[in-house]
Amino acid sequence: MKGINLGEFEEIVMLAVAILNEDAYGYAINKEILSQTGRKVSLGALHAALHRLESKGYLRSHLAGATTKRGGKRRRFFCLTNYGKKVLEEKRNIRENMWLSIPEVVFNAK
Amino acid sequence: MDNHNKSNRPAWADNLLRWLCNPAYLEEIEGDLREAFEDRLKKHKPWVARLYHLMDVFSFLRPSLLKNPFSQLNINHAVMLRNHFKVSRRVLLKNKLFSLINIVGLAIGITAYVLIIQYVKFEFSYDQHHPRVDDLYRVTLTTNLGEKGFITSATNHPAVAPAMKADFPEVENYTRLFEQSIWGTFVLSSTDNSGEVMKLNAKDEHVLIADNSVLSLFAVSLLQGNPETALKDPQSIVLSASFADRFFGGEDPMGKTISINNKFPLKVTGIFEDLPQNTHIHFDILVPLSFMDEDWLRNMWKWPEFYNYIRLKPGTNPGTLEAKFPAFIKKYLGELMSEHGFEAKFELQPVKDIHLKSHLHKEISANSSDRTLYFLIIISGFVILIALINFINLSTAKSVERAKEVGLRKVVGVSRGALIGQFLLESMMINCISIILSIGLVSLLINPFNHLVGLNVLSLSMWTEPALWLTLLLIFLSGGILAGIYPAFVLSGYKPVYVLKGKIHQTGQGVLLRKILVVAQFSISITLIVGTFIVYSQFSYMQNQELGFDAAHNVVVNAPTVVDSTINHKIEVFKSELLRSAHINAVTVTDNIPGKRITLSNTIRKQHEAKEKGVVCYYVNIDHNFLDAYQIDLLAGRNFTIEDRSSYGRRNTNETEQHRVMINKAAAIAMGFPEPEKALNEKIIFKVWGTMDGTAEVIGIVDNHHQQSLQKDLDPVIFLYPDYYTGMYMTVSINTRNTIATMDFIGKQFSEFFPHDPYKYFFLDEYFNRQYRADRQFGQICLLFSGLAIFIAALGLFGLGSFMALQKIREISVRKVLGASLMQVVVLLPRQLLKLIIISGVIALPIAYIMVDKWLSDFAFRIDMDWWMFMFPLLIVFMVAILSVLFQSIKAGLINPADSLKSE
Repeated sequence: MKGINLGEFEEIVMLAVAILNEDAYGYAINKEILSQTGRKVSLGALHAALHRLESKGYLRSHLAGATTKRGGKRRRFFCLTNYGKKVLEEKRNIRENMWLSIPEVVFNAK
Repeated sequence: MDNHNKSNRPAWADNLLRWLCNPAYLEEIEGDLREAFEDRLKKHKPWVARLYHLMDVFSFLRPSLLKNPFSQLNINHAVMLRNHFKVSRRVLLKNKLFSLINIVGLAIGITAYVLIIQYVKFEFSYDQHHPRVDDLYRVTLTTNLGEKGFITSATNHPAVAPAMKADFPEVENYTRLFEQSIWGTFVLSSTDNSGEVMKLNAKDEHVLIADNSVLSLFAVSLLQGNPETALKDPQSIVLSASFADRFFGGEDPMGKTISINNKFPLKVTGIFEDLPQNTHIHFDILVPLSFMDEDWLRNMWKWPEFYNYIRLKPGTNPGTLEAKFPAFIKKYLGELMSEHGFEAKFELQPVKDIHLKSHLHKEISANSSDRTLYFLIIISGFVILIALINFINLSTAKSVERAKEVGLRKVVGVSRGALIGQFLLESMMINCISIILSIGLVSLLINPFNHLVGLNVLSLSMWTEPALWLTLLLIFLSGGILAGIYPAFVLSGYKPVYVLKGKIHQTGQGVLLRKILVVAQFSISITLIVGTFIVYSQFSYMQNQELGFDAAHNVVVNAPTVVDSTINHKIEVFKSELLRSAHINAVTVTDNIPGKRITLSNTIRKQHEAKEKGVVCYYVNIDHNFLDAYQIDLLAGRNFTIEDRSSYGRRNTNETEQHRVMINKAAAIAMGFPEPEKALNEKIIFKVWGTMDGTAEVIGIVDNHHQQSLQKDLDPVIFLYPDYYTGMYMTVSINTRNTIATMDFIGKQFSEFFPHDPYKYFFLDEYFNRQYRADRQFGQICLLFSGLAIFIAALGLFGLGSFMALQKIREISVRKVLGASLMQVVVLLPRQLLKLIIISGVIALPIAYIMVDKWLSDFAFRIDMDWWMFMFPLLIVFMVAILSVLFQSIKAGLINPADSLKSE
């Protein structure tokens, strides 16, 4: 698949969505990224990325689960679309193929 | 709990988010923010959590999450708005001439406005940068010595400021400045390492003799040296960075020695950053006042040539201090005043107002007037106004063409508001393009404009000033709305039923308004042209007026300053040496030249008259060649001869010494001689040295000459021929076009005779005309802007004319069918204009008359206003107007009637 339109940050966001499976909403994704990568991401940047990914068709979302903790506001839960899963896998394949193609000497040479 | 936490979060941030954020995302965002905030509260102090919260909120203010301005509107509106943009663009492109006229006119108008505003801003910035400028005052002196009544001068006695400091606790500090140029010649010299002497005649530099406090009272920043002490030592000198660089050529100037007139060695103790242009005092070189006798100056109440500045304690009311002045004056000047029968008053003049408001005698530099600046602002406003009127006129005139469009839009249900919005949008677009154009234009004009006004007013950095952008925004909004609102209402008011039937009759009120606006444009243009015309006439009158002396053939050489007792003889030999050249007519050595203010003045009177009758007269030291060199006529009596030289009581040794003087016509009349010739051989009493009365015989009466610009009156002058050396200028009258060779010849002789003095010369007429620089600039600025105004007005007329011609085509064709000649139909359009121009003239000429009359009253010698000076501008406007419609008119007249009538 040529020209996958997926940036590094976007990939991390999608992976976080995948990890959280049913529980992937903005703040939870934010915490997941923090614990997995140690990266502090602003909520605004994250939301912008999520909606961008949704408009690209990699994610879909629905609103649900209002709690008092959130002041009665619902969460927007995200999950991967089939297309999104395919893109993610493709990305991983490309990467792994490339890793395999690296000559032995590059990493072992002292 | 919930309430408590909620109140903990800054509500305004949430509101901001609600206001700006896309509502589709708002709920989840708010929820996430809330959750994050609660989590943070557990880990951090509340204020830290709030801070994080704020940062989070701001992180949401990104384009992808904000409200979409189009989607926010009703979906129909959004489409309409896009449609408006599209139609506006098409309209602009379709009516190229119309758009071009509007855009070019407005762009020029806005450019003019920005230039003027920047210039005015610069003028208002004078002297605002001094530390605590609100407490800084100049003490002025008003006296009634002489018959002219009270005269206020910017200078005062050197003893005034120190005495004020001693007497009034309100006075915190003072400084006194003294202009070197009225004191004597300054030749600066210095020896460099190789023993070579560098010389510079400091006439062109601004040398001020000042108290040390000048460094702290005014904004002078010392790059090197100590501001507390730099001018304390009588043998010190402080230089500007650029002068030091020029004089010492990049070497470190500190500690170097500069000699004044080869006699007084002064050590460089400070270098200051070059002063900005926007200050009323300019200096390159500062010499300490203690260079003169400090104690003597402290008690000197008879030498009003010092600028006295005082700084009051913070918050002092200058009025209360001024109230104490009469007693103060009585204490120090009482005796002198009763002895000489004059009165003196002191006043405090805020330093920050000097540049724009002060027009006193003996100002330290030429000041502007705030009246002129307000006048310029008005002109520039008018230029924009004329451009906006163009827009209104052309839009309403064109409205008929767009009537069908409006009708159709209305039929399909467009509201009137939307139509108004569309037309406003069009005018905004034109305005916007004009502003962008004018930004480019202003940037291009930076250098030419700076050159025109002679100041570094503009620089590219002005585009970083928010105030300028605000002005542009204001012009954009007000101009767009002002010009757009009327056409918008007219156009949107058409009734579709009539319009679509093709029954739009010319709206009567539109025509009337158009006429009124055209009259307004013409009136403004005529007023500006009359003003410019008179300003120019006055200026050329002053330049071409008989000055009473020959300026064209005179070259002035700075007289030698390094002199000894043989100087008088040496000068005579030098003169005769020069006269051997066939190209040199006469040589005279004087202490003053025309174009320079005479600073030595005192009273003179007839011999047997009381002291109080004395009149103020200006003293000039000349020699027996003066009248020849300057071609000044002798009205009666005889010229000086070498035998008439006198000490004028200077040495006070020979009481019986005969003093002989010449006076000019003005002096004779001022003293009360019925005719100037009657003063011949009369004895008069005059003063030179101190207050000593001397008696002199008048041996000659000479014609008046203009010592200064024609803005000033003719001064009474008394001419002396001293036997001591006072020479500052050597005027050489030459009679050849080959000035270079002659000047070389003089230079060679000069260096031979006076090897210690630099040879420097200038041309008298240039020097004299320098006084008119400010007037000339004012005239040029007036010319520029009234030219622009009339250009824009003509542009508008051209557009209007082309439209009117189009509308009149049927009338013209019918007339032609009925047998009218080309000539008869061509004059149809201009005839209409003529009426408007005459009305404009009736309105504008009286206003113009009042304005120029006021302006001219500032000049002692002025042109007489004549009726043709007013008719001429009217004629110009008429010609321009006719020319701009004539082309269209002829084009309409040449069309074959069959073509234009067949469509009926």
